[in-house]
Amino acid sequence: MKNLLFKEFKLNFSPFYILFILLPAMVLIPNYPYLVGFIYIPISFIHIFNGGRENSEMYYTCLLPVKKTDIVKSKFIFVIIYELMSVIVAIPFLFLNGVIGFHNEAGCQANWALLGIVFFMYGIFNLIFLSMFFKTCVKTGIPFLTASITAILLAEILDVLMIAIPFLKDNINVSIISGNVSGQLAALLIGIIIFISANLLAYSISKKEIGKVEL
Amino acid sequence: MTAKAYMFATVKSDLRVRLLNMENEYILSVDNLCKTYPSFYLDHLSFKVKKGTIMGFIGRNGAGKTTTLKSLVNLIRKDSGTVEMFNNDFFLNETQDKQRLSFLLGGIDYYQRTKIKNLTSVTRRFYKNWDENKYQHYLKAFELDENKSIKQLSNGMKMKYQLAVNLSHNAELLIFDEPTSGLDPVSRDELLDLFLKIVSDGSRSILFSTHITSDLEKCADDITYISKGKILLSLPEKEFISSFTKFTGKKEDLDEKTEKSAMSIKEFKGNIEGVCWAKDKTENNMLRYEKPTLEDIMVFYERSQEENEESII
Repeated sequence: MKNLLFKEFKLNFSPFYILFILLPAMVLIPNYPYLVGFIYIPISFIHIFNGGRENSEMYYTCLLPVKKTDIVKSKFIFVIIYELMSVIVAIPFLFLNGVIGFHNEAGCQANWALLGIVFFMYGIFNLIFLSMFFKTCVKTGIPFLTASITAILLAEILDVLMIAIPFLKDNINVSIISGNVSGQLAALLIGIIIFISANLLAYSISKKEIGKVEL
Repeated sequence: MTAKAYMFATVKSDLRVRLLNMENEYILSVDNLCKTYPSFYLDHLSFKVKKGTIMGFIGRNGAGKTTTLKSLVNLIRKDSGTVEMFNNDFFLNETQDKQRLSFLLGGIDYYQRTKIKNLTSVTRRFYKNWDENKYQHYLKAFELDENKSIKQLSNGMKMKYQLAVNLSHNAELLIFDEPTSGLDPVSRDELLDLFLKIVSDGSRSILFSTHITSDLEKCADDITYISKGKILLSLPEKEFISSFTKFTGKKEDLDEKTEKSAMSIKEFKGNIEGVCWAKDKTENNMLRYEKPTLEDIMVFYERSQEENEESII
């Protein structure tokens, strides 16, 4: 597994993608839909996976002495590491936003609940994109469109609800520094649970699908 | 133990050793391999590759060579049949067997813009038996510059790079799909010489597909011929060739019996030439009989298949 992950980062990961990991710093923009800073992560997967396809990555990997299921596992771990990096990078900026005292009128505040929505979005994206991708290991267009539209739309709905529903606005959509943290952390926990469940489900689907793929 | 019982035990033990040797003699055994597509199918393919030999897998374009080779290494899912590699069921020991296997489909079409040294730094990690000294030796011997990207290599050099990598992890079975296509005659000759060197110590075997029959005449020990998804013959090269007879002569000298025996006959400027199975050979003193080349066999056999199709139409 260690070797497969090394392969992912050495051959498939361009330093350019670090830019996308840094984009959650956009939470420092006053009155801005902060989810946008995280949307670039799923979007970058179309480039990463298309790059792999153009490099006949699956063909190269399948000939190495590894199990096909390990290829799927390594891809999932790679995707999850990339996503988690964006979340980790965001944390200091969330606190900085709170210290400055920005109040966001354009969506969810830069707080723990925002990360809950981000985990939810990543989970839905992975579930749809990865399980559809591993059906062919070649086609990325339709899986990406389906996954990104669904995940972004659902996440944006949650983002709007944070302002529209008074209970959420008062208890969750509050400052990370001065607001009620327990509500935010509950939202984050729900997001993490959905993220883990969606990835486990996507992995079990993808594991079966790759067995049927013909290269 | 009585003398009789001792003798029986010795014979039994000897037989077991001989059976074991016979088993070990084959590095690859394919038995009744089947794969069906809507418009094409591999029909119960069976053949064996001996240790220390080169097997040429021939057939015309679309005969099923690549599909067969991909099915052997699970790139394509077989419908039925068994593939034994290194005396193991490949599909049960895929990861372990791939440590001892090298599979190359034509030139390298992956990671074209990646430098050789970066690609190797990834590949080498997966092989337990990777020998860095050997790899460096092959790089020098093949004059490969590690700082070049795959795209910058000529087809011949790409092949050499593949060989360097695969020989450095001590692959015992090398499967190549059309390794010589796209190479100039000099590079092709060099590659075939390399093949001979690779198998010369008796521990490694090569199975390679081609439609360039002259390649096989240079280096193949055994020939497996595939046509329309079926194995026509799988024999040592000499036996393969002696299974057929070629005849040439004047058109007017062709008798009905010879015409019927021939797989196919070509006519040109009043002359004829044809190939028939050696068992069907006729005795016509007016015709000249000779050993066919692999190309003759392939051309006349495939013509006969087309003629059959035309007659159906």
